[in-house]
Amino acid sequence: MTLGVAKMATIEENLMSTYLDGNEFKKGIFLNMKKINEWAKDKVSEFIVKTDSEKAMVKMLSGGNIQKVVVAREFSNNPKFIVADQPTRGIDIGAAKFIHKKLIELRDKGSAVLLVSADLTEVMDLSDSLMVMYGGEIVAYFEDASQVDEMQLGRYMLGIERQTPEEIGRCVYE
Amino acid sequence: MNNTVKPKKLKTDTKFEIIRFAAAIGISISLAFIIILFVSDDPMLAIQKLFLGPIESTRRFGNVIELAIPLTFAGLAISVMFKANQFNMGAEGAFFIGAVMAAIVAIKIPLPPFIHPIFAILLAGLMGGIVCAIPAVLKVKWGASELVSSLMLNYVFFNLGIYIINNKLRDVNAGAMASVEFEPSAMLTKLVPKTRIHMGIFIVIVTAIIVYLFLNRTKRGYDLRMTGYNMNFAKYSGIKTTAVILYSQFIGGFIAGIGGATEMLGMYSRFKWQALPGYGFDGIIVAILAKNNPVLVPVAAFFLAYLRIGADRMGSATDLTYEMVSIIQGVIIMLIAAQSFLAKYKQRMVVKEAKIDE
Repeated sequence: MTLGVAKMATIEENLMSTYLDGNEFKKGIFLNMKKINEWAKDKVSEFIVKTDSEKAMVKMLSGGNIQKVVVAREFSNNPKFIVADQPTRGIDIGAAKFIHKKLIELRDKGSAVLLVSADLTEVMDLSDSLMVMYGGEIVAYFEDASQVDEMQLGRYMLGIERQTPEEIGRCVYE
Repeated sequence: MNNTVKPKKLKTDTKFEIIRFAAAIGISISLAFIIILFVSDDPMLAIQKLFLGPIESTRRFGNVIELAIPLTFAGLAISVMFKANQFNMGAEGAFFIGAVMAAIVAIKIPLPPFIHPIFAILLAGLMGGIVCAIPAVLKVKWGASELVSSLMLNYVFFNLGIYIINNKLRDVNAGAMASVEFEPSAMLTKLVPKTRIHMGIFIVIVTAIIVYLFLNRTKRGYDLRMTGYNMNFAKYSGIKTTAVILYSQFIGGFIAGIGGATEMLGMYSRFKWQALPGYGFDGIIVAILAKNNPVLVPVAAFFLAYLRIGADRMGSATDLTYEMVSIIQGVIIMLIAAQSFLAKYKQRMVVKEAKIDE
């Protein structure tokens, strides 16, 4: 709420904030309001933001839907790299599922996704590879997330076990 | 999931704003009624003068328009600055300096008609912009509160202006402290006979349209509004907020400067102000009434001007004084500025609508 959106601005205005540097949405010195509006309508329906109108103020939305507005803006930019820090914390299951689906789609399109989460199921369901942090350091790296179970992860998370530096070092790709 | 796009919420909001505005005005006017009834010996006459005084004659109505012009300029200036969430009070100083600048150009620089006022107004705008940009520079460089520094600077610029007028441009033959007369080529043409309505009315309308387009249809205007809504969000989105603060205050000052020049060249033939005219501060009232919306600013300015002229009439025709209107104004502004006035009613309105939707 402090960085992601301007509460008093409309959904449309929040969606377009990072898209105006190029000339895509401009008409001479003015903004192409019609094109922006169509694009915003598209995004609202693609990301299933529940609202009456894309001109409604963001503060009228529920937390999950505000999150979807942020996600819609950040995921539509063909990002090379996304840091998703607790992307589904505090929102309803439907919205969370939806954001998961979108994260996978982004991966498939070739974006690098770094998912940070305290929700173990989320981490294990979504990730291709896993890293575990303990005490501010990376203590384990699993190249294939499907080969690990919660018990194993738990031991690393509690700091009981620790991989050798060589094993951890595998996470660095050239 | 129901995802059809209906512009219903917007309508409710607008409807509510109109009701709220009407209620605020209704309440304050009834309060005025009550006070007049108590205070005046001839309450009916006072009320009649207050509300119908401005439309008694062409001249009086002309007075309303004449007063609405500088109020609109000031309201637009303040709106732009407030939209960026900067509480810059420098419009007063910028307005004054704009008028001084126009006087200097009108007296000292001989130019052909038509070009003369345009040059004077643009130069005045530039000076006004600089006046309002100073607090912004102080803020972004050293974190000084723009509210305090702009209020202080108003007096600096007021005295600077007075120094220039009284020492460099003073007409020693005039009875009071005043400058020498302007070149006729610099003055704005009067438009309507029997009134002093001048060309400035076109300048102000064009300015309002430009401000509207700038705020709502350009990238820089968008940046300005987002910075005002949530500066951290704007910064994160890649908007250069420091630049926004600087140019928003410059533009606000520019408009105030134009306003000062237009007022000076349209209404006077020599510079006579020996005190701050107060339009900059009135601009704050106008901007609050109009909720910083450039389209509503002229309406709010007209409303305020109407009330002022009505009070003027009431003051001169009856035993009631001009101060009455300050009371009415205060009540209206308080009711409109209060965010939660009638909030319960709005809640009910939204709930009702939601039920119909189901």
